[in-house]
Amino acid sequence: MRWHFNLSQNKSLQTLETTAQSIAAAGEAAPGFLKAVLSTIPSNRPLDVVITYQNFDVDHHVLTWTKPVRVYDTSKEERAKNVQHHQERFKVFNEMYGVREFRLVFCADVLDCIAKCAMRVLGGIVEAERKKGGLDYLACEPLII
Amino acid sequence: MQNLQRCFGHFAPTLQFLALSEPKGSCREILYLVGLFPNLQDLKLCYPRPREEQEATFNAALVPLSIPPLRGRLTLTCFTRRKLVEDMITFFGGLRFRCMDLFRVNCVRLLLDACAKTLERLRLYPADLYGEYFI
Repeated sequence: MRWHFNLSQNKSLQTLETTAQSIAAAGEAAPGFLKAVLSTIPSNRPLDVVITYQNFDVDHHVLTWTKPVRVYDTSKEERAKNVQHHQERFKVFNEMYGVREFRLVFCADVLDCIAKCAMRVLGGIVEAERKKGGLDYLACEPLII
Repeated sequence: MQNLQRCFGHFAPTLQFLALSEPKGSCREILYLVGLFPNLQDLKLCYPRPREEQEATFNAALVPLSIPPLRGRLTLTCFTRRKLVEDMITFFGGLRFRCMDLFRVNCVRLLLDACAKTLERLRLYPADLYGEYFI
């Protein structure tokens, strides 16, 4: 067995991307995995780490097989679970930053009709974390796109 | 193969993105299809689940008709066809993708090495059990 995501030979990598859901699904394995990958990327180049949030991550259900597409809010319990996942992910980002400096980018990958709402949700999550001092370690402002 | 050309040949001048869901042909047949489009930039090959690599019998005389640039995005899901990647490297003179999205792929090392000079953006998944170690 050997480490597959070794990026030490890569000469041009600018962006490492993953999904919010994948981090939540990996649970305790997520920080180890991401830290190991980050540790292989030479630290002499700037790097963006993009976390992609999909409809459910920003509190929406989308039924794409209906016509028109149906969108509705997640339940109170689901939103509470999402809040917990957001907090766990911020801890993962902090651990990742210990390995290597990067710019944190929050990306809403959602349907056009909920894009504004998704940006608002992401903005709120980041602002709440900032107020707690949970983003003080970042050298540059996180980006929300 | 004549059928492929007849069915898809008219897309040849313009097609830039090809997505194949669970393609069942041999590596050479898939490569031949890819080679039908000389302006192809993005390629997506998705399988529903990882499985043992089984190479269908192929016609060794079957070679791609062109070398597409393939400088865009490569998306592979539950992909265990290492031979196809090796053949792409051989017939296309290497790989030059700028973006890769890899989930449960058994030839990550080969892909990262092949695109070491061009890869700018990599999407990976911590939940990918096969990402760390693929036995």
